[in-house]
Amino acid sequence: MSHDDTSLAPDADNQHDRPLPVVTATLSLRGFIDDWSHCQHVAEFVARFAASDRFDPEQLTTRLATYLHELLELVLRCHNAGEAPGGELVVAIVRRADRLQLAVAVPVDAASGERLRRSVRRAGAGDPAAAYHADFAGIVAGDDDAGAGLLELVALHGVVFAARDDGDVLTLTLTVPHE
Amino acid sequence: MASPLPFTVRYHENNQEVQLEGSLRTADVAAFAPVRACLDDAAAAARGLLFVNLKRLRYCNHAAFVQLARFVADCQTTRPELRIKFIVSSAVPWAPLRFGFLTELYPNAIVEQYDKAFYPGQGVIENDHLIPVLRTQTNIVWAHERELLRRHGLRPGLKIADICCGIGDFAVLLHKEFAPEVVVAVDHSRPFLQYAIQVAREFGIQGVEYHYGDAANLFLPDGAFDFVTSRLSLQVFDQPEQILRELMRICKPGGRVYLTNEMMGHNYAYPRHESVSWTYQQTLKMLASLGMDLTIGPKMYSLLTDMGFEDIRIEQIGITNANTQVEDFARVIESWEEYITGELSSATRQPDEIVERLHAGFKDHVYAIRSRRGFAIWPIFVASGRRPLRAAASRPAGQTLPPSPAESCDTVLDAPP
Repeated sequence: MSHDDTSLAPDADNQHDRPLPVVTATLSLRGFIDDWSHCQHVAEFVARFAASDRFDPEQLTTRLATYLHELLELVLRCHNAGEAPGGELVVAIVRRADRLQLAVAVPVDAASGERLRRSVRRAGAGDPAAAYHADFAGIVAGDDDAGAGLLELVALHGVVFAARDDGDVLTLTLTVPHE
Repeated sequence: MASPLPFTVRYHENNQEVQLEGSLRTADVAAFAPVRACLDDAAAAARGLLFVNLKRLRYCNHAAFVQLARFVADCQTTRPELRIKFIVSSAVPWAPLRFGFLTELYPNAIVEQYDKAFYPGQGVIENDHLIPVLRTQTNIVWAHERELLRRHGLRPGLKIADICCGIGDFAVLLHKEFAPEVVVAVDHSRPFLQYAIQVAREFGIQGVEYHYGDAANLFLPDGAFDFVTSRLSLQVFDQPEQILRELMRICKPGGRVYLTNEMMGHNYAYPRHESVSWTYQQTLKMLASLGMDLTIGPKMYSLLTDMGFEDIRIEQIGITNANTQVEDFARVIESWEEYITGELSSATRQPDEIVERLHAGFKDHVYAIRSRRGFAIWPIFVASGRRPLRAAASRPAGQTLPPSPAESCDTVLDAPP
């Protein structure tokens, strides 16, 4: 797991690569996990906003919403409805020189934190492409595998994944090229 | 511009094809059940090859992808002789990656990138070497077209879609001349679009959106535009009806679809007309071998009529060396010569003697254009039709209009909202 690329704050040492915040959405975590369709609505809204002034906004929206949806799904699947901790889910997109960063900061309790950390370790360890290839038959044959979508993003889609663990809040960041 | 869609699944028995459209982001196996049921029914009925058409599926979450993979894996056991061909579009970025991966693991799965198979000549016509040809052509035609567009219903303040926008210069000209509310310009060539966006930036043009997309499967909503243009483009597709159906779909009821296309067989120059005529007849044969019909111009009236358009207007622009800057006209023909004797001849494997004769014909054409006593004409047909008001209400969202006669819709299952 990488811990060096999750900060959305300006980096004073690298003025050329200063993050430019594009959109930040703050949601009640309990409200968010209450309904599956929230993943789609939030992913679509945030992605469309971030893509709106870019070259080929439709295709960029499709890419960003695809990635964000997997992150938000993971958050939803790792929390049990009615038992989620309070607090706010923060979804943000920032633009850097040649890439976009999609970040989700999510409050966790012991149970949801353990589930999320397991998925994070899996996506961040070793060779994700080899791991996904090796695991795929099991994923297909098995029951619900919450972390498989995140692993697939890293393994197949060229997305760079990083995570920061602040104990009661986990921040998951995907870095993708602009175009 | 699109809003989130539910998914739709249909089985077309005649084609052995399951068609998935919209947004398939299922929470669990139960939510995927309608799709699986349709796939199972299709697999039970199909022989040899089952097509799973995903070219209009904009979103698919990993959970749904896993369920599709499970269907493939199950078929490997229960129907080992059945192969499953997934048809994907390059306009949907996740699809080639995922289904390419699937074919590595399951020998009964095949993936076909639909837009590459559907547009056999696309590799030739999307080459960025064509940019000078297109720029010069637009400049010449625009001089005639800017007034003519008004006769076809274009006026300020409209929402315009320019499909197959090429290098985007027509969209920029429309923007300058007609002050539209918005212009959405779509093309399938990344080099063309990169050029288009660069030009728009350099000219400080705001209000033109450029999209990468497939003209036959646009991710633009139904009935969104007042005026839909597609210029000199139907002629390069081997199934123009399919494109026209899509143009009609995105046009508002009461709005107009505007088309221009050539009648290359009527390109004429005097003197040396035998050589010039042979050259264009030969070029037509070469283009036809790649699925392009550059005689479609006058056929547009029939196409629009058959598709159900109303108030169809058709006319011809005659670009001649008497009404156009001679050097501009000559430059267009010289750029055709370069393209047709170069890339097109290579793509269609023309022997050297044919290429030599083509060179001679184009030079004769340019001679006629530049000659004090010569005359040359390049006919372009312009047609437009109004989308009827009455068809709007009865059609499910996302379905093309009117349905192709070849399609039969047997099962339609809409996901719960």
